[in-house]
Amino acid sequence: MASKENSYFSDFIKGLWKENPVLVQFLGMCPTLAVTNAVVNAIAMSAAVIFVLVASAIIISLIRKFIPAQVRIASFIVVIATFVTMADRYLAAFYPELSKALGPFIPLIVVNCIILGRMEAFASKNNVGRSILDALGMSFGFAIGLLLMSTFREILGNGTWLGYEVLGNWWDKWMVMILPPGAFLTLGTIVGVSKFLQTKFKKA
Amino acid sequence: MKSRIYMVFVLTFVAVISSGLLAYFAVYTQPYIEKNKKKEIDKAIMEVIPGVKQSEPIVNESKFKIFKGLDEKGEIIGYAVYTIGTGFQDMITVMFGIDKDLKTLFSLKVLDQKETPGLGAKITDDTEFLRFWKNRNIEEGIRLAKHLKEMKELKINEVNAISGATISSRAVVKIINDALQKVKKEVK
Repeated sequence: MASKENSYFSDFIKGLWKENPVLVQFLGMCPTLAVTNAVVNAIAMSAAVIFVLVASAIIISLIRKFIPAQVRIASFIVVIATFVTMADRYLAAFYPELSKALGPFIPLIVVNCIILGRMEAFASKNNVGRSILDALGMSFGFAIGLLLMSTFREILGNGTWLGYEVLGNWWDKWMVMILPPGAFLTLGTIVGVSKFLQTKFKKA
Repeated sequence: MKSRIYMVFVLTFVAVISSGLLAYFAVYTQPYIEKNKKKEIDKAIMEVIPGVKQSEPIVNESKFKIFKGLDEKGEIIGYAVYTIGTGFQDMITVMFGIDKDLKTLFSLKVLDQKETPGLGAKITDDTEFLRFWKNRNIEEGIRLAKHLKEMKELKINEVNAISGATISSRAVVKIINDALQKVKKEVK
Protein backbone atom coordinates (compact mmCIF):
# COMPACT_ATOMS: atom_id res chain seq x y z
CA MET A 1 0.00 0.00 0.00
CA ALA A 2 2.81 2.35 0.95
CA SER A 3 4.53 1.86 -2.36
CA LYS A 4 1.34 2.55 -4.26
CA GLU A 5 0.76 5.80 -2.42
CA ASN A 6 4.34 6.64 -3.10
CA SER A 7 3.87 6.17 -6.82
CA TYR A 8 0.73 8.35 -6.83
CA PHE A 9 2.71 11.00 -5.04
CA SER A 10 5.56 10.76 -7.50
CA ASP A 11 3.13 10.98 -10.44
CA PHE A 12 2.28 14.41 -9.20
CA ILE A 13 5.59 15.62 -7.86
CA LYS A 14 7.79 14.67 -10.80
CA GLY A 15 6.37 17.41 -13.00
CA LEU A 16 7.13 20.11 -10.49
CA TRP A 17 10.87 19.74 -10.41
CA LYS A 18 12.54 16.52 -11.58
CA GLU A 19 10.78 16.46 -14.97
CA ASN A 20 9.67 20.08 -15.04
CA PRO A 21 8.42 20.72 -18.58
CA VAL A 22 10.01 24.16 -18.85
CA LEU A 23 13.27 23.76 -16.96
CA VAL A 24 14.13 20.14 -17.72
CA GLN A 25 12.15 18.85 -20.70
CA PHE A 26 12.26 22.13 -22.63
CA LEU A 27 8.72 21.70 -23.87
CA GLY A 28 6.32 24.54 -24.56
CA MET A 29 9.12 27.00 -25.17
CA CYS A 30 7.06 29.16 -27.49
CA PRO A 31 4.58 30.42 -24.84
CA THR A 32 7.31 30.35 -22.21
CA LEU A 33 9.31 32.91 -24.16
CA ALA A 34 6.43 34.88 -25.60
CA VAL A 35 3.89 35.54 -22.86
CA THR A 36 6.10 35.91 -19.79
CA ASN A 37 6.58 39.68 -20.13
CA ALA A 38 3.98 40.25 -17.41
CA VAL A 39 2.95 38.10 -14.46
CA VAL A 40 -0.75 38.41 -15.27
CA ASN A 41 -0.18 36.96 -18.75
CA ALA A 42 1.81 34.08 -17.27
CA ILE A 43 -1.01 33.33 -14.82
CA ALA A 44 -3.66 33.36 -17.55
CA MET A 45 -1.53 31.17 -19.80
CA SER A 46 -0.84 28.75 -16.95
CA ALA A 47 -4.52 28.58 -16.03
CA ALA A 48 -5.43 27.80 -19.62
CA VAL A 49 -2.78 25.08 -19.81
CA ILE A 50 -3.84 23.58 -16.46
CA PHE A 51 -7.44 23.41 -17.70
CA VAL A 52 -6.57 21.96 -21.10
CA LEU A 53 -4.04 19.45 -19.80
CA VAL A 54 -6.21 18.12 -16.96
CA ALA A 55 -9.42 18.01 -19.01
CA SER A 56 -7.71 16.29 -21.94
CA ALA A 57 -5.98 13.84 -19.60
CA ILE A 58 -9.32 12.84 -18.08
CA ILE A 59 -10.99 12.29 -21.46
CA ILE A 60 -8.03 10.54 -23.05
CA SER A 61 -7.48 8.17 -20.16
CA LEU A 62 -11.21 7.40 -20.08
CA ILE A 63 -11.37 6.49 -23.76
CA ARG A 64 -7.82 5.11 -24.05
CA LYS A 65 -9.02 1.50 -24.43
CA PHE A 66 -11.31 2.35 -27.35
CA ILE A 67 -8.83 4.29 -29.43
CA PRO A 68 -6.98 2.22 -32.02
CA ALA A 69 -3.24 2.88 -32.11
CA GLN A 70 -3.32 4.11 -35.72
CA VAL A 71 -5.57 7.10 -35.02
CA ARG A 72 -4.49 7.86 -31.47
CA ILE A 73 -2.54 11.06 -32.28
CA ALA A 74 -5.40 12.38 -34.41
CA SER A 75 -7.88 11.65 -31.63
CA PHE A 76 -5.63 13.32 -29.04
CA ILE A 77 -5.37 16.43 -31.18
CA VAL A 78 -9.13 16.63 -31.65
CA VAL A 79 -9.72 16.34 -27.91
CA ILE A 80 -7.00 18.86 -27.08
CA ALA A 81 -8.18 21.31 -29.75
CA THR A 82 -11.71 21.12 -28.37
CA PHE A 83 -10.62 22.17 -24.91
CA VAL A 84 -8.23 24.83 -26.23
CA THR A 85 -10.99 26.40 -28.30
CA MET A 86 -13.23 26.40 -25.26
CA ALA A 87 -10.54 28.11 -23.17
CA ASP A 88 -9.93 30.64 -25.95
CA ARG A 89 -13.62 31.52 -26.31
CA TYR A 90 -14.01 31.69 -22.55
CA LEU A 91 -11.17 34.22 -22.25
CA ALA A 92 -12.48 36.24 -25.19
CA ALA A 93 -15.94 36.37 -23.61
CA PHE A 94 -15.08 37.12 -20.00
CA TYR A 95 -11.50 38.46 -19.97
CA PRO A 96 -11.20 40.41 -23.25
CA GLU A 97 -8.10 42.34 -22.11
CA LEU A 98 -6.22 39.17 -21.25
CA SER A 99 -7.37 37.49 -24.40
CA LYS A 100 -5.95 40.40 -26.40
CA ALA A 101 -2.64 40.38 -24.53
CA LEU A 102 -2.17 36.65 -25.07
CA GLY A 103 -3.09 36.95 -28.74
CA PRO A 104 -2.47 33.79 -30.75
CA PHE A 105 -0.77 31.93 -27.91
CA ILE A 106 -3.96 30.50 -26.46
CA PRO A 107 -4.99 28.84 -29.75
CA LEU A 108 -1.38 27.68 -30.08
CA ILE A 109 -1.74 25.55 -26.94
CA VAL A 110 -3.10 22.95 -29.37
CA VAL A 111 0.39 22.32 -30.63
CA ASN A 112 2.04 22.69 -27.22
CA CYS A 113 4.22 19.61 -26.87
CA ILE A 114 3.69 19.37 -23.12
CA ILE A 115 0.09 18.42 -23.67
CA LEU A 116 0.44 16.05 -26.60
CA GLY A 117 3.51 14.60 -24.88
CA ARG A 118 1.65 13.82 -21.66
CA MET A 119 -1.27 12.30 -23.57
CA GLU A 120 1.04 10.02 -25.52
CA ALA A 121 3.41 9.18 -22.68
CA PHE A 122 1.03 9.00 -19.75
CA ALA A 123 -2.72 9.51 -20.08
CA SER A 124 -3.08 6.98 -22.90
CA LYS A 125 -1.43 4.29 -20.74
CA ASN A 126 -2.72 4.96 -17.22
CA ASN A 127 -5.98 5.17 -15.31
CA VAL A 128 -7.90 8.37 -14.75
CA GLY A 129 -6.66 9.07 -11.22
CA ARG A 130 -3.00 8.79 -12.08
CA SER A 131 -3.50 10.73 -15.32
CA ILE A 132 -5.09 13.62 -13.43
CA LEU A 133 -2.21 13.67 -10.95
CA ASP A 134 0.31 13.57 -13.75
CA ALA A 135 -1.49 16.34 -15.65
CA LEU A 136 -1.74 18.49 -12.53
CA GLY A 137 1.93 17.98 -11.75
CA MET A 138 3.04 18.80 -15.27
CA SER A 139 0.82 21.84 -15.64
CA PHE A 140 1.82 23.18 -12.23
CA GLY A 141 5.43 22.62 -13.28
CA PHE A 142 4.71 24.66 -16.40
CA ALA A 143 3.05 27.33 -14.25
CA ILE A 144 6.09 27.45 -11.95
CA GLY A 145 8.37 27.94 -14.95
CA LEU A 146 6.20 30.71 -16.36
CA LEU A 147 5.80 32.46 -13.02
CA LEU A 148 9.55 32.39 -12.39
CA MET A 149 10.23 33.83 -15.82
CA SER A 150 7.56 36.51 -15.66
CA THR A 151 8.47 37.51 -12.08
CA PHE A 152 12.04 38.29 -13.08
CA ARG A 153 11.04 39.93 -16.34
CA GLU A 154 8.29 42.13 -14.97
CA ILE A 155 10.24 43.26 -11.90
CA LEU A 156 13.45 44.02 -13.77
CA GLY A 157 11.77 45.34 -16.88
CA ASN A 158 8.90 47.33 -15.43
CA GLY A 159 9.57 47.61 -11.69
CA THR A 160 6.24 45.97 -10.91
CA TRP A 161 4.90 42.57 -9.95
CA LEU A 162 1.36 41.71 -11.08
CA GLY A 163 0.92 45.44 -11.69
CA TYR A 164 1.95 46.47 -8.16
CA GLU A 165 4.94 48.76 -7.72
CA VAL A 166 7.84 46.75 -6.28
CA LEU A 167 10.90 48.78 -7.10
CA GLY A 168 10.67 52.51 -6.57
CA ASN A 169 11.37 55.29 -9.00
CA TRP A 170 15.12 54.92 -8.49
CA TRP A 171 14.99 51.74 -10.54
CA ASP A 172 16.08 52.37 -14.10
CA LYS A 173 13.72 50.01 -15.94
CA TRP A 174 15.52 47.43 -18.06
CA MET A 175 13.26 47.61 -21.10
CA VAL A 176 15.13 44.73 -22.71
CA MET A 177 13.71 42.32 -20.12
CA ILE A 178 10.19 42.90 -21.42
CA LEU A 179 11.25 42.59 -25.04
CA PRO A 180 11.98 39.21 -26.65
CA PRO A 181 15.75 39.20 -25.89
CA GLY A 182 14.90 39.45 -22.19
CA ALA A 183 12.95 36.20 -22.49
CA PHE A 184 16.03 34.36 -23.71
CA LEU A 185 18.29 35.97 -21.11
CA THR A 186 15.89 35.03 -18.31
CA LEU A 187 15.29 31.51 -19.56
CA GLY A 188 19.01 30.89 -19.92
CA THR A 189 19.76 32.16 -16.44
CA ILE A 190 16.92 30.26 -14.78
CA VAL A 191 17.75 27.00 -16.55
CA GLY A 192 21.44 27.45 -15.68
CA VAL A 193 20.68 27.96 -12.00
CA SER A 194 18.21 25.07 -11.89
CA LYS A 195 20.71 22.73 -13.58
CA PHE A 196 23.35 23.80 -11.07
CA LEU A 197 20.99 23.07 -8.18
CA GLN A 198 19.98 19.72 -9.66
CA THR A 199 23.53 18.46 -10.06
CA LYS A 200 24.36 19.66 -6.58
CA PHE A 201 21.39 17.83 -5.04
CA LYS A 202 22.26 14.64 -6.90
CA LYS A 203 25.78 14.59 -5.49
CA ALA A 204 24.62 15.23 -1.95
CA MET B 1 -10.66 -4.75 -42.58
CA LYS B 2 -12.71 -4.78 -39.43
CA SER B 3 -10.07 -2.77 -37.58
CA ARG B 4 -10.02 -0.23 -40.37
CA ILE B 5 -13.74 0.44 -40.09
CA TYR B 6 -13.42 0.58 -36.34
CA MET B 7 -10.63 3.14 -36.70
CA VAL B 8 -12.76 5.40 -38.90
CA PHE B 9 -15.71 4.96 -36.59
CA VAL B 10 -13.76 5.99 -33.48
CA LEU B 11 -12.21 9.08 -35.02
CA THR B 12 -15.56 10.16 -36.48
CA PHE B 13 -17.19 9.64 -33.11
CA VAL B 14 -14.56 11.74 -31.32
CA ALA B 15 -14.87 14.50 -33.94
CA VAL B 16 -18.66 14.57 -33.79
CA ILE B 17 -18.73 14.82 -29.99
CA SER B 18 -16.11 17.55 -30.11
CA SER B 19 -17.89 19.62 -32.74
CA GLY B 20 -21.16 19.30 -30.85
CA LEU B 21 -19.51 20.57 -27.68
CA LEU B 22 -17.83 23.43 -29.52
CA ALA B 23 -21.01 24.48 -31.29
CA TYR B 24 -22.79 24.68 -27.94
CA PHE B 25 -19.92 26.64 -26.39
CA ALA B 26 -19.70 29.03 -29.35
CA VAL B 27 -23.38 29.88 -29.10
CA TYR B 28 -23.04 30.34 -25.35
CA THR B 29 -20.08 32.77 -25.55
CA GLN B 30 -21.13 34.67 -28.69
CA PRO B 31 -23.27 37.36 -26.97
CA TYR B 32 -20.52 38.09 -24.43
CA ILE B 33 -17.88 38.44 -27.14
CA GLU B 34 -20.10 40.79 -29.11
CA LYS B 35 -20.81 42.84 -26.01
CA ASN B 36 -17.06 43.20 -25.43
CA LYS B 37 -16.55 44.36 -29.00
CA LYS B 38 -19.30 46.93 -28.65
CA LYS B 39 -17.86 48.14 -25.37
CA GLU B 40 -14.46 48.52 -27.00
CA ILE B 41 -15.94 50.58 -29.83
CA ASP B 42 -17.88 52.78 -27.41
CA LYS B 43 -14.73 53.39 -25.39
CA ALA B 44 -12.80 54.24 -28.55
CA ILE B 45 -15.45 56.78 -29.63
CA MET B 46 -14.99 58.60 -26.31
CA GLU B 47 -11.26 58.73 -26.94
CA VAL B 48 -11.23 59.93 -30.53
CA ILE B 49 -13.78 62.77 -30.28
CA PRO B 50 -12.86 65.23 -27.52
CA GLY B 51 -15.80 66.16 -25.30
CA VAL B 52 -18.23 63.63 -26.70
CA LYS B 53 -20.99 62.54 -24.33
CA GLN B 54 -23.01 60.10 -26.40
CA SER B 55 -22.95 58.55 -29.82
CA GLU B 56 -25.36 57.27 -32.42
CA PRO B 57 -24.51 54.99 -35.32
CA ILE B 58 -25.21 56.40 -38.80
CA VAL B 59 -23.62 53.66 -40.86
CA ASN B 60 -23.33 50.26 -39.24
CA GLU B 61 -21.75 47.71 -41.54
CA SER B 62 -19.49 44.96 -40.24
CA LYS B 63 -16.34 46.54 -41.68
CA PHE B 64 -17.29 50.19 -41.82
CA LYS B 65 -19.16 52.20 -39.22
CA ILE B 66 -19.78 55.90 -38.70
CA PHE B 67 -20.96 57.23 -35.37
CA LYS B 68 -22.36 60.68 -34.70
CA GLY B 69 -20.71 62.20 -31.63
CA LEU B 70 -22.99 64.41 -29.54
CA ASP B 71 -22.22 66.73 -26.65
CA GLU B 72 -24.33 67.02 -23.48
CA LYS B 73 -26.89 69.27 -25.23
CA GLY B 74 -27.33 66.68 -27.95
CA GLU B 75 -25.59 68.80 -30.55
CA ILE B 76 -23.32 67.13 -33.04
CA ILE B 77 -19.63 67.81 -32.51
CA GLY B 78 -18.04 65.26 -34.77
CA TYR B 79 -17.99 61.80 -36.23
CA ALA B 80 -16.16 58.66 -35.18
CA VAL B 81 -15.27 56.31 -38.01
CA TYR B 82 -14.56 52.61 -37.56
CA THR B 83 -12.91 50.94 -40.51
CA ILE B 84 -10.93 47.85 -41.42
CA GLY B 85 -8.31 47.76 -44.16
CA THR B 86 -5.35 45.76 -45.37
CA GLY B 87 -2.08 46.14 -43.49
CA PHE B 88 1.29 44.59 -44.22
CA GLN B 89 0.28 41.04 -43.30
CA ASP B 90 -3.26 41.11 -42.07
CA MET B 91 -6.18 43.43 -41.52
CA ILE B 92 -5.83 46.59 -39.44
CA THR B 93 -8.85 47.89 -37.53
CA VAL B 94 -8.80 51.57 -36.66
CA MET B 95 -11.09 54.19 -35.19
CA PHE B 96 -10.66 57.90 -35.76
CA GLY B 97 -12.55 61.02 -34.86
CA ILE B 98 -13.24 63.95 -37.21
CA ASP B 99 -15.01 67.25 -36.68
CA LYS B 100 -18.53 67.89 -37.96
CA ASP B 101 -17.32 69.91 -40.99
CA LEU B 102 -15.06 67.03 -42.07
CA LYS B 103 -12.01 69.27 -41.98
CA THR B 104 -10.00 68.07 -39.02
CA LEU B 105 -9.04 64.64 -37.80
CA PHE B 106 -8.96 64.80 -33.99
CA SER B 107 -7.06 61.61 -33.27
CA LEU B 108 -6.53 58.04 -34.35
CA LYS B 109 -6.73 54.82 -32.42
CA VAL B 110 -5.67 51.38 -33.64
CA LEU B 111 -8.06 48.76 -32.30
CA ASP B 112 -6.64 45.61 -33.81
CA GLN B 113 -3.59 44.74 -35.88
CA LYS B 114 -1.25 41.84 -36.58
CA GLU B 115 1.71 43.75 -38.01
CA THR B 116 5.31 42.67 -37.40
CA PRO B 117 6.06 42.95 -33.68
CA GLY B 118 8.70 45.58 -33.00
CA LEU B 119 8.28 47.24 -36.42
CA GLY B 120 4.82 47.55 -37.94
CA ALA B 121 3.17 46.88 -34.60
CA LYS B 122 4.38 50.31 -33.54
CA ILE B 123 1.30 51.74 -35.26
CA THR B 124 -0.32 51.26 -31.84
CA ASP B 125 2.48 53.23 -30.18
CA ASP B 126 1.72 56.77 -29.12
CA THR B 127 5.21 58.28 -29.12
CA GLU B 128 6.29 56.61 -32.36
CA PHE B 129 3.18 57.07 -34.45
CA LEU B 130 -0.21 58.01 -33.09
CA ARG B 131 0.76 61.39 -31.59
CA PHE B 132 1.48 62.72 -35.08
CA TRP B 133 -2.14 62.09 -35.95
CA LYS B 134 -3.51 64.70 -33.55
CA ASN B 135 -5.52 67.48 -35.27
CA ARG B 136 -4.61 66.85 -38.90
CA ASN B 137 -6.27 68.65 -41.79
CA ILE B 138 -8.14 66.14 -43.93
CA GLU B 139 -9.65 68.28 -46.67
CA GLU B 140 -7.20 66.81 -49.16
CA GLY B 141 -6.42 63.59 -47.33
CA ILE B 142 -3.48 62.62 -45.14
CA ARG B 143 0.04 62.22 -46.51
CA LEU B 144 3.20 60.69 -45.12
CA ALA B 145 6.05 63.14 -44.56
CA LYS B 146 9.00 62.52 -46.91
CA HIS B 147 11.40 62.28 -43.97
CA LEU B 148 11.00 62.22 -40.20
CA LYS B 149 10.10 65.63 -38.85
CA GLU B 150 9.40 67.14 -35.48
CA MET B 151 5.72 67.49 -34.68
CA LYS B 152 5.73 71.27 -35.24
CA GLU B 153 7.56 70.98 -38.57
CA LEU B 154 4.93 68.68 -40.03
CA LYS B 155 2.47 70.26 -42.44
CA ILE B 156 -1.10 70.15 -41.20
CA ASN B 157 -1.96 67.21 -43.44
CA GLU B 158 1.26 65.27 -42.89
CA VAL B 159 2.12 62.47 -40.48
CA ASN B 160 5.43 60.77 -39.81
CA ALA B 161 6.02 57.20 -40.95
CA ILE B 162 7.57 54.65 -38.61
CA SER B 163 11.18 54.04 -39.56
CA GLY B 164 11.53 50.40 -40.58
CA ALA B 165 7.80 50.05 -41.13
CA THR B 166 6.98 52.23 -44.10
CA ILE B 167 4.55 49.69 -45.53
CA SER B 168 2.51 49.53 -42.35
CA SER B 169 2.54 53.33 -42.08
CA ARG B 170 1.43 53.69 -45.69
CA ALA B 171 -1.27 51.10 -45.12
CA VAL B 172 -2.73 53.10 -42.25
CA VAL B 173 -2.66 56.30 -44.32
CA LYS B 174 -4.44 54.49 -47.15
CA ILE B 175 -7.05 53.02 -44.81
CA ILE B 176 -7.79 56.48 -43.40
CA ASN B 177 -7.94 58.19 -46.80
CA ASP B 178 -10.20 55.49 -48.25
CA ALA B 179 -12.47 55.78 -45.25
CA LEU B 180 -12.54 59.57 -45.55
CA GLN B 181 -13.75 59.27 -49.15
CA LYS B 182 -16.58 57.04 -47.97
CA VAL B 183 -17.41 59.36 -45.09
CA LYS B 184 -17.68 62.33 -47.42
CA LYS B 185 -20.22 60.43 -49.48
CA GLU B 186 -22.24 59.27 -46.49
CA VAL B 187 -22.22 62.47 -44.45
CA LYS B 188 -23.70 65.28 -46.48
